[in-house]
Amino acid sequence: MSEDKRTILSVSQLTGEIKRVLENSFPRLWVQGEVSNLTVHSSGHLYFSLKDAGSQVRCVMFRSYAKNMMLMPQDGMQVVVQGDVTVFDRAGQYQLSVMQLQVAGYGELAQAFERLKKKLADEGLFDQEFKKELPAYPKTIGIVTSPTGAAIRDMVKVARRRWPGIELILCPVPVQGIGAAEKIARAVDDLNEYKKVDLIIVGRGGGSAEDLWAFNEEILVRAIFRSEIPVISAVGHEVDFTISDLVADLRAPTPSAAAELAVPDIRETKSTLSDLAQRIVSSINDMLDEAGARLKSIQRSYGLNRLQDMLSQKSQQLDWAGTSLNNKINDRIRSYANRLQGQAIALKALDPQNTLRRGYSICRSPDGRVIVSSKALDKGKLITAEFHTGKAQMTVEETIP
Amino acid sequence: MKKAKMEADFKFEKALARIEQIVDQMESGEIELDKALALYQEGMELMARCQATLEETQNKIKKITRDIQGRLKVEEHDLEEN
Repeated sequence: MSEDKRTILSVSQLTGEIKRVLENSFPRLWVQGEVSNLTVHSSGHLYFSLKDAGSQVRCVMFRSYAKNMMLMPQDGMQVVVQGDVTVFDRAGQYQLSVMQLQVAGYGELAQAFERLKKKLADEGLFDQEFKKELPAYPKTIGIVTSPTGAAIRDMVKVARRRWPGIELILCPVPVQGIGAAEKIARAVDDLNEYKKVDLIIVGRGGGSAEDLWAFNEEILVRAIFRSEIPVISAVGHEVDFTISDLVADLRAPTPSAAAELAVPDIRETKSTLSDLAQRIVSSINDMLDEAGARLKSIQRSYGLNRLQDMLSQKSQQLDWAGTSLNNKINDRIRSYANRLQGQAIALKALDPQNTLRRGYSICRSPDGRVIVSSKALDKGKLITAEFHTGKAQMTVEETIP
Repeated sequence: MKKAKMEADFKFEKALARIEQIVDQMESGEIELDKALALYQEGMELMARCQATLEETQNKIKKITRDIQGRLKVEEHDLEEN
């Protein structure tokens, strides 16, 4: 039975066979085409078709590869992909499993760049009137860049050398690859929400045009535009120009240069300050000297000297007057003294002792009273007679009136 | 508290501008001596604070990220030197 000789395969077997043949016969290859029907699945895998005028092929790019991509492809973009021909068993479809995706030639990137630049320029995002002035002495600087790599280290080194007290706040972000632009934009917004930075530097070190692409993406350019804190862009090397540079308040040619532009030189500031200190001290000294000189000249002036003269005249007069007053008082005292002396002599003449010396005597009754009349005496009364020298007790024999 | 607030409010840029203004005023020679003495004192105080700012140093850099709840989180960041 010929029918018995038929080999009947299941669908899975057929697909498996096709898969084996296809996947073994095609080496890893490069294909160029235009991207269409691009979708980014929530898993992070990218699905799209590559087409040209005559045909198309389904492509899948798994997340593990997609995340290394320099920029997100867009529908209509010419790209070159590297991948393997694979078969998706469930759908029975062959496809390209893409490992690398590059924009085909610089032309595509240049066009995307020019398109966005024109659009944003038309909106006025690069206008001078929106440029904010940078603070001359920022206290805190926010730095949006990769936490690893030379850019951050260079910026920290330069900033610290110029002003050791500068406060640096890093917003660590990936600076290339899918999603980098969103994350950098978010970091700029975060610093604006945080508020406590005076200036923001957004940048990265050098790389290829694709490496720097995140800085040409609209989402980041708009975040820089809406930042209320001044932004310095510092992307790549001197020759690299990005749209972020156009919208930033200042473009620095390199990250190190950004730190130079952002951070003042402490040595210059110290010399400015000491110059000001000298000027303030010397101007106050000048003013004090001048005031002192005025004071001296006032002291020497005729008016003040005349006053001085008048004062010394008065003082002399006073002295003189004082002397004369003294003399008068002394005279007065002397005359009193003389008078007193005269009176003393007169008093002395009245002293009873002097009378006794001349032979008189004083008689006293026993109670000590002086007897001035015989009437006070009776016969037999005891009296005392007081002489110039000595006393005598006597008895009255007879009284004679 | 008040002092801490004043320290936080201190702006080097403003202080320097004020010192320059004071020096200009004093050098103009058009002010009275007692006013000049007051300005001199103000200038010297600002100068001292500027000097203190110049002497500050920072050894750490900070890092700002968002936590799981999406809140901003600031912490010290060690920059690997290699």
